[in-house]
Amino acid sequence: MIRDITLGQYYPGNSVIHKLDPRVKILATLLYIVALFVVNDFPGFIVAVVLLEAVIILSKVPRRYIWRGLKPVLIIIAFTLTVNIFMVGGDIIWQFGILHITRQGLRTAAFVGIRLVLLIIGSSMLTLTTRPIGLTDGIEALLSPFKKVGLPAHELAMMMTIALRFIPTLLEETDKIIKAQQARGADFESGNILRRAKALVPILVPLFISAFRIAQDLAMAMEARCYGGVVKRTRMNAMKFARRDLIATVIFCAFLAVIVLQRVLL
Amino acid sequence: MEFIRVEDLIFEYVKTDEGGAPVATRAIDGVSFNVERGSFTAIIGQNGSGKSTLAKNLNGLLLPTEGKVLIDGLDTSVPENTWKVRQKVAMVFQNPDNQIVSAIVEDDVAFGPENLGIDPAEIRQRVDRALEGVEMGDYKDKAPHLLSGGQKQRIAIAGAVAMEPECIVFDEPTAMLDPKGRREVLAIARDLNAKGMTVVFITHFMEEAACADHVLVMDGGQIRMEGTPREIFAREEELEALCLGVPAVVQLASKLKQRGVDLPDGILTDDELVRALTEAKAE
Repeated sequence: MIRDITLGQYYPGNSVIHKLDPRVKILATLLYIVALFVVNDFPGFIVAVVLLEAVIILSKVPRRYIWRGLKPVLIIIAFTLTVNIFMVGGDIIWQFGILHITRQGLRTAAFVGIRLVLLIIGSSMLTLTTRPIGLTDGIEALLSPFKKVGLPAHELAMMMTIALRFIPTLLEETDKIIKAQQARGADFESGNILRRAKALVPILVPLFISAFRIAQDLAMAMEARCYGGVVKRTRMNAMKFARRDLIATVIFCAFLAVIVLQRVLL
Repeated sequence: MEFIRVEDLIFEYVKTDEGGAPVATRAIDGVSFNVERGSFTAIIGQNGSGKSTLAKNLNGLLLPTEGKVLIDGLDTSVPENTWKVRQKVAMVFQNPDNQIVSAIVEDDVAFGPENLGIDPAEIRQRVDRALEGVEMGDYKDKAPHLLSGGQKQRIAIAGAVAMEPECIVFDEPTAMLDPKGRREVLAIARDLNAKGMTVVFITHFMEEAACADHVLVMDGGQIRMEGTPREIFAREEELEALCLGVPAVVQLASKLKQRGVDLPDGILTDDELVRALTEAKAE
């Protein structure tokens, strides 16, 4: 069950979207998220949906992968929707005791819902179509201007690479520890919240110890492979800003322009 | 010609006790040996005999407390030599999970060459060649955590090969694998050796040591026996005194001889035993 988590998963492929320069994709994703908060009417959201839909079609990522990324956050979305529907004041459509639904409430809830769904799908399109190394290289490149003020861009990127690599390993380890503790009679399923939180201690302690052991092994292995920080390091897939990146940038800028103009003019 | 020369090596792990005073545990206690260029050397010994510590001394991951380790004439304890030594002697570790750095197979194989500052086009070629060499070319876009233990260990070997070292030290690479994975890893090590790579293979499986040109037996941080597998496995009682056995075939052959079957000395592999038995039957 715990292994089903697909955080930051990459879907191997060879599409145009996969081939885009990670720097372009990261910036575009960030700006897309900002744009989602600029939009505040339905036509604007239609533009945002159309763009995202085009990216999904071009990327050839199966929809069930996208759906899988969305599933774990559905509860959060449902919760936000409920809160918004009942909490926003305005013209009352329906009332029952202290509960009431207003037209404004429905509108805000719909917008928040669409925003969240687009936000999650948008950012998971970034991780689904960019290999982890590309992602971290991109972040490193985008952060490198800040090296002058002492930001360890390379080290941060390397930490991210390793963190992404070891998510499944640590999940497997957690699974193993849970089973081992259950075999010894540990009970994780009953009792109140406090009791259940306490029951996590026998999982977390061995997990931490094993994380440290893995870290030590990995450090040895990296040293044995001549890792010495950023000095003289080259990359197998150096990032190149190609023609398709220019085209993508132009299309994306057009999208931003439409969103902003639409907000300002209408 | 010798490639690795170990002279009177002593290694101590230093820990601080509760009072803060340093406590030294001697893991290697006066070891000297040579590894010939292009040879296949196996180091066997039970847990805690110092074999892994010895392996980490062979490429400067650990530095001698006393004595010397020379790799192709380079002293590992000289700081300027560290990178050269690690490029000459690559290493494959025991746990396949904890030595893979990247979340995509081919990116992991590229990690070593990238650290060496090699040209991107050249890295690409090396990665492809190394992956083909371990028959993992089809998996180059896969995530390592979805592979079997044996496959992960093959990726780790490809990562070592891509650095184009002159020697690979295998530190119990088969200890965590199933029999199939074990066979694959050993076959790759032998294949690399056949192509000229110097191999140091640390193991506690006697069958694997039987493939070597040269065997070192360690116990209590010292080398207790040294010789060809034939010489070593002929000394069954001494090995048993060190809590080590001999390969099952060797055992079988010696039991058969005790029962009066006419067999030659020094049988090491299944094939040799089969041949000897068919000959014995023919007579």
